[in-house]
Amino acid sequence: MAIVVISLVDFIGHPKMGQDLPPFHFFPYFCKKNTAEMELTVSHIYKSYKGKVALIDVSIQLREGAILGLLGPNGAGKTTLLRSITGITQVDSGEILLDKVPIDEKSRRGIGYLPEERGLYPDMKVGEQLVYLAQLKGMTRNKAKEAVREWLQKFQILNTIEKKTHELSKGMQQKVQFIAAVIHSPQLLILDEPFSGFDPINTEVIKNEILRLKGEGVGIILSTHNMTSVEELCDEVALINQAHIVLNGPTEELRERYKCGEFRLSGFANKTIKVNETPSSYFRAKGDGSWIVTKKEKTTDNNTLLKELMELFSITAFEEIKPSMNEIFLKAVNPQ
Amino acid sequence: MNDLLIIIEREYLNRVRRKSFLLMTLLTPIFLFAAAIIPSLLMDEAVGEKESVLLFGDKEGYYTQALQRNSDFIFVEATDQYLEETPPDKEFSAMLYLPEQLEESPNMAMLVSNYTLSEALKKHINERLSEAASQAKLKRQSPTLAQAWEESQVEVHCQTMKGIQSASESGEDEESAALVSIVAAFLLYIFIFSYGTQVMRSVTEEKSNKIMEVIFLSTRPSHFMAGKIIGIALVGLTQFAIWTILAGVVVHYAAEEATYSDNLLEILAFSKSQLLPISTFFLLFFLGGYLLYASLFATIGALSNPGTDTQQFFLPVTIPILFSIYAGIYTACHPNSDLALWCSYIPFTSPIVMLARVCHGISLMEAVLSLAILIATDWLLFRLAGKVYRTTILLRGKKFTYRDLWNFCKQ
Repeated sequence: MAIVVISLVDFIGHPKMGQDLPPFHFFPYFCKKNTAEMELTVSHIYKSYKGKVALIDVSIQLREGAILGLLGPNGAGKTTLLRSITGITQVDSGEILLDKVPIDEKSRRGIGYLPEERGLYPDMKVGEQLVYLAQLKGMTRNKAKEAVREWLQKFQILNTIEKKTHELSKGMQQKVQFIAAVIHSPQLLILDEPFSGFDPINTEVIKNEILRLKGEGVGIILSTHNMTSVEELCDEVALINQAHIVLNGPTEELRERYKCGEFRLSGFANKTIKVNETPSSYFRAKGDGSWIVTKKEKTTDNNTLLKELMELFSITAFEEIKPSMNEIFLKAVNPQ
Repeated sequence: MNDLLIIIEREYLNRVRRKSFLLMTLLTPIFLFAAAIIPSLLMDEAVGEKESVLLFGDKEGYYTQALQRNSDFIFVEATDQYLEETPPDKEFSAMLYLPEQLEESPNMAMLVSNYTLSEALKKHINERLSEAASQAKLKRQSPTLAQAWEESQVEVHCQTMKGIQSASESGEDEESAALVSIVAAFLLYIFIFSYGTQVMRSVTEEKSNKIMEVIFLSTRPSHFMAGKIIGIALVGLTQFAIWTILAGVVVHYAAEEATYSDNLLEILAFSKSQLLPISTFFLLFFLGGYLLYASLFATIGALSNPGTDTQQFFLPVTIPILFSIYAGIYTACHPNSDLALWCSYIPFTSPIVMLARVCHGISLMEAVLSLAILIATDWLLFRLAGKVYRTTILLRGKKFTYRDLWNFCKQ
C-alpha cells in the first residue's frame, strides 16, 4: 500500500501534471519538512574596515520557522551583517552560532543566500547554472535536474531552461537567483532585497513562496526596503542604523510599542458637537465620515474611552491605529 | 573532493561547448599553416623575378661563364648577335662593363643600374670576378701552375654528427630540429599565454559579480580556484590532443607525398620520427608552464578590482613569457648556448626554452631536472595563489599593492 501511495505522489509531482494542485502535492521533493531544529544566534559582533566602523555590538536571534526583517537606511550595515552571518566577511569579535555551534564549512552549505546584486554567470544556460549550483550544495545531478525543472515550472519560466542568463529580463533573473538560493532546501535562508526587479504579481509569488518555506520550518532573514513586505511577512524586525541595532523585537510588539493612542472611529454624531473632546480624549473629523480619536492619557482604559464616545456618536466601527513599519522606521532613525 | 570535480566539469564543458572553441581549434592550424607558407610563397614569387645583368666587354665569355656558375642571378653576354636579336625594350636589372684586361685593371669594372641592386648580387659579382680574374692572371703568368691549381680544387661539405645513432643524416636533422623547435616553442607560448589569461579573465569576471558569494557558501575558495585552473588546463589539453592528431595525420600523409620540396620533406620526416617524444614533452612542459602562469594570473585576477587597473601586476608576469619566446627562438638555433642553458632551468622560461632544446635531442636527465624545478616552483606559486585567492576574492573595493602581495608571500 505504501508503494502505491509513493507512486501516486510521484505521479502527481510530475512537472507536466497537476498544475492546479496545491504546492505541497505538486512539489514532493523540496516540500519535505526540515526536521532539524534551526536557531541562529548573533552575539555582540563588531566589524570595522580601515577607518570605518561597520557593526558595533550587534546581536540578533532567529528561531526555526520565523522570518526576521532586517531594516535600515542605506549604508547602515545590513549587508555587512548578512555577509558576516554567511562567513563571507570575518567579524572582528563576537559570535555567530547556527544550532549553537559556530558556522563552519559544512553548516554553511545549509544556508541559502540571495545577494542584493545578481550572483549568476551571465553566459551560462539557466538550467545548467541551477544544476551546477545545486550540485555544489550537495545534491546529486539527477535530483538537481528534477528540482530545477520543478522550480522553473512553478515560477512559470520553464521555457528559459535553455536560455543564457543575460538573455533574461531583470525579474526573470531574480526568479532564477531565488531558485538558486532555495533549491537545496536550506535550513537558513538569507534574502537581500528579494523583491528587487519584480512587478506586483511576481512579488506576490515570491512572498507566497517565502511564507511556504517559513511553514516548512526554514529560518529566514529578509533585508529589504519594502516596508509593506516586512509587515506582511516578518515575525520579528531588527532595525540597524549607523552600525548599531536600534530596534529589535517581534513586529506586533514593536507596533504596539510605537502606537500613539490613536483610534479610528466610523459613525455619526448624535448631536451637534461643540467641543471636539471628551474628558479623556480629543477627536477630529477626517472628512471621509470618520474621526480620529486621540487619548489624552495613554493609560486611559479603552472601555472608558468608548463609553464617553458612545454618548456623542452612533458608532459603526472603532479600531486602534497602529503605526506602520514605515513610520516606526522613520521614528527610530530620526527620533526628533 | 566531489565539489572539485563538479567545478572542473563546469569550467571544462562551459568552454569546450562554445562554438568559438571549435572554430579556433580548427582554424588556428590553418592560420598557422598559412602564416608559415605565405611568406615562402611570396619569396618564391620574388625568386621568379631574378635580377639580370647584361655584360659588356667580355669578348671570350670567360667572365660571363664564371658569373653564371652556381648563380641565382641571370648573366647575359652582350654579343653583337645577341644585341641584334634582342628587342631594344628588353630590360635588365643592371649593365656590367668590364675593361679589356680585368686582371690588370680590377678597379675599372663598372656596374650601372637604374635600380637599387641587392647586396647579394653585388657580392656575387665581386667574388666571382675576383676569383676569375686571379685565375686568368695566374694562367697568363704560369699556365702549368694555373692548371695544377685548377685540378687541385676540392670542395668540402662538412657533415655534422651528433652521437652514433643520428650520424647518418644529422646535418639535415639539425635544420629540421631548429624549425620544429621554433614551432613547438611558439605553440607552447600561445598555449600558456592564452589559457593563463583565460584564468585571469574568469577570476576577474567572478570577482566583479556576486557569484563568488553564492559559491563561497558551497565550497572552499581554494577548491574553486584549483577546479578552475584544472578545468581550463583540460580545455588546453583537448585542443592539444586534436591538434596532435591532425598534425599526425598531415605529417603521415604529407611525408609520403614526393611532390614537395626537399626541405619540407626533411622537416616532415623529422617531425614524423620525433612526434611522440616532442608531443610528450610538449604536454609535460605545457602543464608545468601553464600551472605556473595560471597561478600567477589567478593571483592577479584575485587582486584586481572591477574597473581598476590590473596593469601593475599584469606587466611583470607577461615580461618573462615574452622573454621566453625570444629565448626559445634563439635556443632553436643555438641549443647549447649559455642563454639556452640558463633559461632552460629557470622555471619562468624553462617550459618554452627547454622544449626548444628537447627538439634538438638533449639528454633525458636534463629535461627531467628542468621539469622537477618547474614542478617545485608550480607547487609554491599554486599555494601562494590559493592564499591570495582565499583572502581577496570576496573583498571588493580594496586596491591592493605590492606590499600586500609581499605580506601574502610571507604568511
